Amino acid sequence: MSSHAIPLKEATIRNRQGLWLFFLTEVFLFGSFFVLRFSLWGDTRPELEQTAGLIATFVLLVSSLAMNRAEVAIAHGDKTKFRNNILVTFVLGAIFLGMILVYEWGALLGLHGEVLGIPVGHILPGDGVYGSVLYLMTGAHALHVLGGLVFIAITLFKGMRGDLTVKDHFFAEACALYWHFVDLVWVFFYPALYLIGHVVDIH
Amino acid sequence: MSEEQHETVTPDAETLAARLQEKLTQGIYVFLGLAALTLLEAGLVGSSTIVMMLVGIAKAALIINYFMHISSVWSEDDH
Repeated sequence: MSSHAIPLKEATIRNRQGLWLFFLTEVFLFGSFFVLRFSLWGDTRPELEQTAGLIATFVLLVSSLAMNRAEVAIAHGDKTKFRNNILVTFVLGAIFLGMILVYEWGALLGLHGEVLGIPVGHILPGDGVYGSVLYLMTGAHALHVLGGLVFIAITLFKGMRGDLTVKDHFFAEACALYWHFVDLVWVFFYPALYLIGHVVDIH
Repeated sequence: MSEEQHETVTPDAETLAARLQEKLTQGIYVFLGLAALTLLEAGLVGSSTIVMMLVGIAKAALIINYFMHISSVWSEDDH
């Protein structure tokens, strides 16, 4: 067996291309859910808590900014900024996940009333097409957020151990790209779930 | 291409710090654009699907271009 070392720059470009091909497969997955929403809900939507949706969207948006700052920092050798920002990203990602669980999946988790002054979710997966599509879309996205949190934790660990350098930090770049992709999916899921169409009473 | 041709000189600390500041500032501008578009679409609740999707595409373009650095897929540019 012969070994052929690929120069770092070339390897990085190949890795980037592989990652973007992975994103393409994910676009097909999330795209199918998106199409499903419009074919089953049409110009209608269930009543979802607007305040929770907007706050969750902003939490994810700020986490994307923090991730961008972390990636830029490690690429320029600033480990302190990298650590602080990737920690902020992790915390905000966890808050987003918690908000989806409470304010969308609340009924399934047996929650009632309000949490922090915002009503918890009242829709169950068995509530017709509205329940099934809502849980499918938020569930698939939440699983990716969860995967992203694990990825972030590993990246933080590698960064602190000194495995990521100015010249060689593709692991952090991949983590950042993945997190931004998760945000990108929500850019389309948020209006599809919360904003488009007129509200119908599903009960 | 030989390995020597791929070798690059690591910029000095001052240059790196200046570039870092420039990129961080750019990130804040992109975030402000995304935040403004999010508030716009939240204000447009119930309006046509096409309008909502146009706002979504504008947000996606900002994320893909500035946060995901799509141009670097084919180049040796670092972020």
